[in-house]
Amino acid sequence: MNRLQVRQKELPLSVRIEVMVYLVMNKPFIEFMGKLSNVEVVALQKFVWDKTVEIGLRLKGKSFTRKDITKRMIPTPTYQRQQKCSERVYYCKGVMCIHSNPECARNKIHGHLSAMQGAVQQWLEETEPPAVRK
Amino acid sequence: MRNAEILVVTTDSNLSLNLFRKICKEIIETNNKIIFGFLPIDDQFEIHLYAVEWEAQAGDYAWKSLARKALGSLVLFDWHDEKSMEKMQQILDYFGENFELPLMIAANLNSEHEKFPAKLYRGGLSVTSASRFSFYNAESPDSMRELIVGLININLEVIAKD
Repeated sequence: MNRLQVRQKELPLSVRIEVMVYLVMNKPFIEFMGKLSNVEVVALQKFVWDKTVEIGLRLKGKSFTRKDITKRMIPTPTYQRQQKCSERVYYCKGVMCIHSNPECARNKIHGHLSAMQGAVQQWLEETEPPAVRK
Repeated sequence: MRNAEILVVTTDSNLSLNLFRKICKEIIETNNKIIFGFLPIDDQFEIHLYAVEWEAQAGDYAWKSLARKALGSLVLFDWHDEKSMEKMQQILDYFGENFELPLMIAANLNSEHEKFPAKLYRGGLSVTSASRFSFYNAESPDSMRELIVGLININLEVIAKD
């Protein structure tokens, strides 16, 4: 499977709903990732990113920026140094490394997923729930 | 009288029966596990709800004929019940493989409904181009009606994209 095919892979509907539960309930993704293939893990990252942005827009409105999420992530050069990786910086992406070094790619993706969960949980804590209509 | 049809698929028949009792004017329960509910909008238009309890062994005898004309389906499950979650996933896999039907997938939170801000889920978070995920409170008729509005909105969006 080439990079384009990896990028285009989508999670089944039932898995997407399960992912929503993990994201909103702050359940650790690590075991869940273990059930997924390498390509599905890349699709998971993309889906969680999309949903985190959607939730950010809903809860933060116009004050939401991508940086609210990315500031929680380890910068790629730092991550590469930690992994003692000598590849070029732009190689450090799930779609690139998921086949050649899946353990490292999964580790990085898991870090991103945790960062996105953290952002969602913070927004939920900051947002006052309105009175429930009966 | 004009009508629109909505299929209600639940992991537990109590979820659909409860929904019908809260929002429908008339309910007909049959002995083949299908419940009909009638929700009049005005004297010219009525929404017909068909509830089918999910059973894998039911095959597609009812689903195909019901799904063909339906505006879409509400798929309801209990947020905190793992068995309900598993059943809901079977339903979604089956629907995903067999039908192109707008879906509003909703998790019942009951009293925990207020834990989440409504703007998180009102109208549903998009899951695919024709399906959304939302929360609802099985004790609140307003919350259930919002799911129907959400399903109608998915239809409008699908039409707009075509």
